Amino acid sequence: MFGPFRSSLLQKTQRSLIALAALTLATLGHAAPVDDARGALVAGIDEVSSALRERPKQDDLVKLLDTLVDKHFAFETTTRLAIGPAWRDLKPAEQQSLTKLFSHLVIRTYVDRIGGDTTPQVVYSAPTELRPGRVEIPTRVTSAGQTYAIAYRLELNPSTQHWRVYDIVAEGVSLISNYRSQFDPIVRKSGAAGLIKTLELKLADSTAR
Amino acid sequence: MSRPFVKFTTVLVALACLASMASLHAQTGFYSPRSLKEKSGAPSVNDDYDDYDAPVIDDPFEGFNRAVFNFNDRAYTYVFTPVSHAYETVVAPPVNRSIASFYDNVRYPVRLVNCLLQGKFKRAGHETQKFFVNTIGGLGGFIRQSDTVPSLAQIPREDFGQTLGVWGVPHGPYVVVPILGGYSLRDLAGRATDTVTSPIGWEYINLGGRQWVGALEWQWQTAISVTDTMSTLPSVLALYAQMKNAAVDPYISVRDGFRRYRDNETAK
Repeated sequence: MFGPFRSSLLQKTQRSLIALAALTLATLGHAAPVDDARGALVAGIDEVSSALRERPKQDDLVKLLDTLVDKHFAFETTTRLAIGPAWRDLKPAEQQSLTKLFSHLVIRTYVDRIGGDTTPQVVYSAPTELRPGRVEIPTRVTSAGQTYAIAYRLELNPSTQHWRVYDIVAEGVSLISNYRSQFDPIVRKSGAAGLIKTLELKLADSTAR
Repeated sequence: MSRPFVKFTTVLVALACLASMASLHAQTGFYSPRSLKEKSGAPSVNDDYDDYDAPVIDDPFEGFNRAVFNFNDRAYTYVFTPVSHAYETVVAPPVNRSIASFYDNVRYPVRLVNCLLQGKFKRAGHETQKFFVNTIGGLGGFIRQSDTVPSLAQIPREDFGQTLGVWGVPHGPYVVVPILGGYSLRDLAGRATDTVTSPIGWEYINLGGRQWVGALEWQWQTAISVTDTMSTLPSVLALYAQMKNAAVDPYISVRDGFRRYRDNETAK
């Protein structure tokens, strides 16, 4: 007598379980990106730090970082925001060469900065959403007895579903905004060509150093 | 020695007040520096440009400031950096860290007073706990024992420049001072005040014609000021070198970076 009922109950339970699982997966799938951001950042920082710990030669290092940076940093966004609304009026070729030059300048700075012997300790906080597809992850970095507040801003690439860093904010000073205030007068005065030239000169100077 | 210094501070504070009025004037439209923000008509897909706004920095003496900046750059590169390297070879980094901690601990009254002036009583309490933990448990402040206490490890440091900011005094014009570097007039007045209110500067305070705190021999005064400066110099110069290396216009990079840093500190 209970047979059919029981089986239907079983079926119902099964069905609701499947529905629940599907729902959970769907929610997870939806929530995952923001949580993934921290994972992507940790992986990125670990990968770059271990590459630096190997102490490769300067040229190899720059080449290696070039690939790593492409994987973990969204330099197109960084450059576009550092140049500001004037970006819209630039030719694609100008945009590309500016992105390349700017990324090289930042990589070089980063390599210089990590020349020390100590491995910094990083404590990550939970990501906060800045706007859809963009998060900020505050961290506390301790190096040589000093602690710094460094926040990483990441954006989700809609096609690859991969999070990449586009800005770093150290003690309230954003990399993008600091360059924006430097680039703006140059772009106003001598356009994209002037900025490309300035960046080329700067890179040549740093190489000579 | 002391009277002129107090007078100098008074003049600076007066200048800061003038600057505030000038800035208020600027806000009404005159002498208003060009804002980097461009208002575009329809919001586009890339309206994230507005996420990044340059702070409006009043820099009426830019030509003069840049000249002093270049002078400072040479002084940092050719005088201070070699001296700082020499100091670092003589005084090992862990020892220097202790010296820096000691001077930081001695400056507790400055932080306390500014916590109170800003109405941050809980923070004032934390500062006091930190002072006792480090003075008693950290051998007179040479060991920063408070770092092991979570509530005392990261207390934002208050100073008079921040207090003025909390009180609503505007930054005023940007000034690059020989050797000391770039400040808004507000922060410069703050720094001068902190110098005389810090126990290290109590020597300069002269009330009713006599030293307030026991007078030290000039050799001791010099030794104290020099070790105090030297203990923080290597890290300050390293930061400056990094900024200069990364920048396409170091003057603007430092001006923008320092202003954002100070505003961030004031907001904490």
